[in-house]
Order: sequence, then C-alpha cells, then structure tokens
Amino acid sequence: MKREEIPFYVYGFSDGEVGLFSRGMRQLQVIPVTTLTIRSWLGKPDVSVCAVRISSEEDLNLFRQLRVEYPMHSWGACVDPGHTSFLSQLLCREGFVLFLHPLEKESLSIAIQRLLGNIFKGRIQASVHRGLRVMHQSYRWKTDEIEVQAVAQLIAGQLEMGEFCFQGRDKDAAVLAIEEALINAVEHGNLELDSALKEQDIMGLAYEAEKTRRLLDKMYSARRVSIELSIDRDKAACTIMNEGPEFDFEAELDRADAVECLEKASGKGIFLIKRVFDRIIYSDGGKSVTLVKHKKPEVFL
Amino acid sequence: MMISTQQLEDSAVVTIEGNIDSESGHDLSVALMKVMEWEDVQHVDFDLATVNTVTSAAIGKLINFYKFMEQKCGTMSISAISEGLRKQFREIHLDRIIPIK
Repeated sequence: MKREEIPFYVYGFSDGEVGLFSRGMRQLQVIPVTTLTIRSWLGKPDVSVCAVRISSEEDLNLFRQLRVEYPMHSWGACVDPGHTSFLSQLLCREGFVLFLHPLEKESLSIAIQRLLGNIFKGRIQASVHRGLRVMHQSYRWKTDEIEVQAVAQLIAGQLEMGEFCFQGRDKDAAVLAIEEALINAVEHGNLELDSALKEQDIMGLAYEAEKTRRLLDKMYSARRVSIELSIDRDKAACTIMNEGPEFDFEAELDRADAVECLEKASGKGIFLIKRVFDRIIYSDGGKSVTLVKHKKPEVFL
Repeated sequence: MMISTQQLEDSAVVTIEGNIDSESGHDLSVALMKVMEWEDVQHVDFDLATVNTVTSAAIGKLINFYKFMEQKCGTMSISAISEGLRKQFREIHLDRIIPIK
C-alpha cells in the first residue's frame, strides 16, 4: 500500500489490543499488540491520530512511550467512565491535543470511529494534511493572569512539534522571541507602559513600579492578550493581540533598526524576534502582531 | 535562574546559572544593585557559561550596568559565555559594547 493512500492512521489500544484505521480501509482492525509490534508495524508513518482508551497505568505508560516515539502525531485520549476526573487532569497536564470521552459501554472501535467522524466533519480542530498536522489553537488571558514565560514555552513547544524549531538552543531562541512579543503586548500594549521609563534609572525600577501599579488597576489589568497559533506543513504563524491603544509600529520598527538603539536599555525585543521569525507583520493599528516562520526546504541526498 | 555575587578586593564576579527570562529580571536588578553598592570594586566579571538566552529587558540592564562602571572609571567584562548566548549577543551587536573574552 502506498503511503499517500493512507492519509492517517488511528490507533487505539486497551487490554493488549490495538486498532488500526485508515481511510483506505474504512474499517477498524483490532489485533493483539505490544509497543514493539506497533513500532514495527508503523515503520515511520507520516501521520497518525491516536485514540487510546486508558484504564490502567500500564496503558498510560504505553501511550506515553508512543507519544515520545511519534511526537508529530495528533494524540487523543479515550478515558473510561469512572477514571475521567483523575485521568483528565493527568492527560491535560501532559499536553494532549484531542480529548474524547467514550460513552458508557461504548466499545473502543466505536469510540475511535466517533473520533474519526468528528475529525472528518471538522468538529475537532486538529486534523491532518499531507502527512503533517494542521493545527489551529486559540488562547486568551487577562493581563494580570498571563504567565508570559509559561505561555512562551507552550507556543515554542507547538512550534517544535511542527518541526519549526528544535530542542536546544534553537528552541531557547524561539521561547525568547515569543516571550519578547508577549511582553510587548502586555507591557506596552495593555499596560501602556512607555519604554522611556526604563531609562529613568539604571535598573529600570521606575518602570517596574509603574508596571506593578497598573497591574492592580482594572482599567489595564482587565484587558486581554489573545493568541492565535496556526501551523501547517510549510508555515507557522503566531498572532498576538492586545487591547491597548494603537501605536506607530512603523516608527518602532525603524527605531529597532537604528544603530543608536544598540546602546539603549530598551528596543532590543524586535531584534530578538527577528532572529527567529522570518516576518513580523503588524496590523490593527499595531495592536496585533503576527510572527511568521517558514520551514526550510528539506535536502534529500 | 540562580545568581550569585562575590567581591574579591577591588573586583567582583557575578555568576548566573540558567536563562534570564521575564520572571528573573527582578532578581538580576537586585544582584546588580548590590554590586553597585561595593564602592571599592573597579572591575566586574560576568560568568554566563550556563545561560543560553537573555531577555531584551535584561540586556538593557547589563548595558546600563556597563555604563555605570564606565562612569566610575571601572570596567566590566564577560569571561565565560555559552555558545548560544555568544551567538545572541553577536547578532544584536552587544559584543560591540560589552567586552566578551
């Protein structure tokens, strides 16, 4: 069977069984399986969507192993009734993309086919396209609730899954770039803090004090930061929106490029973003910024 | 991020471990202000061997600290730096301002 004929696989396993479903087959095959046989069976598939009914620690560990082995898959979990609360929390913490609660007494095969149906009908956002996952994620936080570093890690993690950055220095730089864009949205956008305040004292204490004051002021803190992340085969785009006033973003970009900016205490965030992303696109009067990264073409030898 | 400062007669060493992110910027300020209070110190050396990235805000603080040392006719240098951070500093031309050994 040619690889192109199998747009995606779905696996499910429980009590030592695994189910394979492909569009070409249009039916679920259930066979006894171990992690080893799954690996040899898969070879190196382009994409799979995994739906797992987890009812034991052993199931969960098998699932974790597969997830490490195939990080590009869209992972889903079928959680047995009765385990929902505990496992839901656990799985959410472990970053599962899809989530499915099988109905009581629903067989694994039915649950998986229901998951498939939802993917086909577009009810579940994560889907597959030409061997790579197409993903659209939306996030929204109030200004006084957003944990910038954690969110930057989350977004960079998604970029890593899409192979737009890689573990190590590359990912560190991506985390930093996203962090800078988020800081701009929070501090200069929603909190309306002027960078000039940073120049008032050596360590920017006046700036920090004003930031703290505004975070306690609902006029600023109730504003939200929204993120739209879109990843496909060739391009990743992360749009960060704030609810502050419009600003002259063209002047800001010019300022960042100016040589005299080098010796100032502020204005280097744009540099750090440009190191990682191919394009920075401002819109909505500067309240929205989209960071775009293209995948470098692969070289086959 | 972990940061430690040590005075050695007329010089001081600032050692930072881990990336300097948006949450650790304040700790950096506190540590640098402590060093600024050491009047006898004429040279401050930074050990950034385990730091891979530094936020723009923290870079601003390092630049201002460098200027502070210049004003008191002192010097500042970075003697140990990770490859990732060296690349970052080079790309934003910070190596033109602060001496990196």
